[in-house]
Amino acid sequence: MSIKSMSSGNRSISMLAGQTPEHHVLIGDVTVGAGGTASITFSNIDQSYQHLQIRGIARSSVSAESDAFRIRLNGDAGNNYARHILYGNGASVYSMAASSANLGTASGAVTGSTATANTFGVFILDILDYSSTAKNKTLRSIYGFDYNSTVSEIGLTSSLWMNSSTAVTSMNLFTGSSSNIVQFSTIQLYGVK
Amino acid sequence: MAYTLIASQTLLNPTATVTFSGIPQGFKDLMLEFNGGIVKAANIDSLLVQFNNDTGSNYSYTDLSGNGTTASSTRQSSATYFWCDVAATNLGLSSVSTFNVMSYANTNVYKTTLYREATAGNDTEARVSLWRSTTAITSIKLFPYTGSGFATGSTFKLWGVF
Repeated sequence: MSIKSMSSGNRSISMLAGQTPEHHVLIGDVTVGAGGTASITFSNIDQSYQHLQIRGIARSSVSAESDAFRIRLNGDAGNNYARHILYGNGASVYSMAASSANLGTASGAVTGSTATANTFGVFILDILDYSSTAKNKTLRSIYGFDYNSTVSEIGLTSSLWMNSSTAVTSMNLFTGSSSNIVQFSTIQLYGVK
Repeated sequence: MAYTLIASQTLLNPTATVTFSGIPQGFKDLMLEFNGGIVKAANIDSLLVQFNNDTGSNYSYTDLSGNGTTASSTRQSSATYFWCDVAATNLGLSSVSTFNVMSYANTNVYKTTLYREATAGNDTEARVSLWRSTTAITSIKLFPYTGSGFATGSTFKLWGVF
């Protein structure tokens, strides 16, 4: 490919194709097929990395314009999570919080079935020091969706899994309404060195 | 490894437009990093982005920003580009922006970009934008809103994410 810089006819090409920083490694990849799925699970997570990153696009089958997108670690459904969300909807800024919750937040929201066709909510979620047995696990994400209408959302989240003695070995991602994650949703899990 | 540097450029002269074309289609996402400024006798200008030379009203965006005094959120529908704030000459090369173009090659979805912008002396922002096209992204064009070009020393890096 090329980079063209147009300024009084100047043209320069600078390519470093193939340079591969050895920090992120793809260790899980799910694309939802026809019919959708209730949840996406990554299990037996390799413990040799420093952090984890989850990148995804998702849409819910809920009969609404948006749906929350949640996460549970190691199958823990106890009240061992806390979360904070800061988001804007194009008109106002909001902040929300929950403590002693039984799930964390992967993305503040993804699109629902009544959203503009072909639109998916997107998010990038980091879990820092996931393999530590001496720290509670902190999750952070940036997320958003836009429908080219009066419905949109851009936000930042932080979640806490209050389990300092156990490394994260599995994660389960699902919608807040318990509706299906629909076809063409795709989520990748990366180990970060 | 997951992140592969597709192309990188540091400007040796002020440059009106930077375009990445012929983007390889084998990745999941793209990540575009900008670090620099815009030539304009002011504090702030805007960096505009278009995909595949589409100049139609097919873009929209929503932002969340804080300027040290106020937190706000605004949106724009049916625009001909999406954008973020960038430092202009008075503030020097002091803007950093990271654009994550999610599922850029997926022909079943509209293209959503998540991005963060930080401009020292001005504000910090998170934004989401939508390009209403299911066509795979093969080129990205970046240009200033009113400034004459990107400043010398500005850097652009395009990464493919597997």
